[in-house]
This record gives sequence, C-alpha cells and structure tokens, in this order.
Amino acid sequence: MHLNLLAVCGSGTVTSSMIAGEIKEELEKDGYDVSATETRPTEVQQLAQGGNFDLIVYTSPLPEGDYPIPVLNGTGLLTGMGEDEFWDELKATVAKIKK
Amino acid sequence: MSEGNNGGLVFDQQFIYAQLDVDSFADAINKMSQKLIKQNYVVSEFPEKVIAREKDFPTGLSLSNMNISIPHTEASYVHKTVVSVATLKNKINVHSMIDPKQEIQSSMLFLISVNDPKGQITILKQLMKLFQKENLLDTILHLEDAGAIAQELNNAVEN
Repeated sequence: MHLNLLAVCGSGTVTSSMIAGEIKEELEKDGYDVSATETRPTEVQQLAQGGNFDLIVYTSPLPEGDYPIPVLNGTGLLTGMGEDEFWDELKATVAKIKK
Repeated sequence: MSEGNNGGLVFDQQFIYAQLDVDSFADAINKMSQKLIKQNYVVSEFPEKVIAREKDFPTGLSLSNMNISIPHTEASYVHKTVVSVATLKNKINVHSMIDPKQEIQSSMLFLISVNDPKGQITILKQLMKLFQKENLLDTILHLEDAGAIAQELNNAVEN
C-alpha cells in the first residue's frame, strides 16, 4: 500500500528529513511504499486539509487545531526514548488507514 | 564532516571542539561557525540564522543521560555539508524541541550544516542513530582532545 507521509519540523528540512527517512525504511519492511514530504508547522494545516496525505509525524509542536488525519509525535526517533512505543503507535495507525 | 566514499557521515577533527568554553548558545554558535565561514562551508550570515531559528524552533533534545542541541538552519545558507561537534565546559541554557517553553541545560552541540537535506538522508540518519548511543555521548563528553572525539564518533557511525 502506498502511504503519503507529512513530516514536520521547525524549518521543514533537517529534522523532518531525519525522521522521514527512518519511517520510510521501517514501513517498507512491512510492505508499505512511503512518499515523504517535509514541511514546517505553519504549513501543516493547509497541507493536511488538502487531502494528499495519510498521516503527520512531527518533532516541533503543531499549531492547535483539528487535523483530518492521524498526528504522531516523532521525537522518540531522535532521542531513542519511547522509540518502541512510537513504532507501535505508528504501525497501529497505519494499519487502520484504508484507501 | 564530509561525505565518505559511500556518502556516509565522517567527522573531521578540525570541526570538533572539546570542552568549549562558552557562556550562551549564541556564543557557542558564533565560535563554532568561525572556521566554517573562513573555509567557505557556510555563508557569513549562517550563525545569525542559526541563532534566530533556535528562538522560533529550539533544538534541545532530552536524552536519557544528558541534554544535547542540534542547531541548524535552511540549506540555502550552506555551501558544503558538515557536522560540527562541541562538548561544553559549562552547560548552556536552551529550549526543548518538543516543548519550546521548557528550558533545559545542554552539554553538547551538534551544529548541522547540510546543503541538501533530501539528498543527504543517509548522513542525517547516521547522525540520528548516534544520539541514541548513551555510552558514546557520555564518553566523548569527558574527552579533552578533539582528535579522540572524532575517532570515537567515526568508529560509532553505522553504515
């Protein structure tokens, strides 16, 4: 299954690339094909509403609001703390995405 | 740091600062950027951009045994990718990436200057894995020699 991931960090470059790469690799092991887009918090709402993404993973806080797709905190990937819980949550979330 | 033969993360001793004596985040960035600017790895505005970005989007990370910072800015200010590392003589106050209102004390800085984040995902991933190696970070925190730090880091990079 193809997944469109929106990775969010402050500048939409370095940190989001780090986690996007890691997530792609891990989900590919489960047979998912992942396309990742990196962005910054100010652009998330608009992109999320656009309907082109299946889920959001962030390392910088997102603006308050309702997001139509699942939102996960990916900081555990950077620090290694709570990383297992993150993967569990990610995989459970992804399993529920129907296309 | 530069790209190795396989496009991997390599730490260059000249961009490593052991027991750097600074009194603030800005001070650390300015000191660490001097060589980068001189050798044309980054533009002259790089340090001020890093410092400004840190105010809006702090890069403090709370690891299990210490706090570190991973400051960076947009790729447009970088000519050539390099990761500079500083262990600090005295901790500095920074803010947490995930909770910007939270102030934490950082012992180590990884100043990341990447000119092509999408093209250098390998390097970024390898760097990320290093943050999770508690013993490694603890070891380098106590080393006094940049060459020794470079060696430890380079040995720890997973291909």
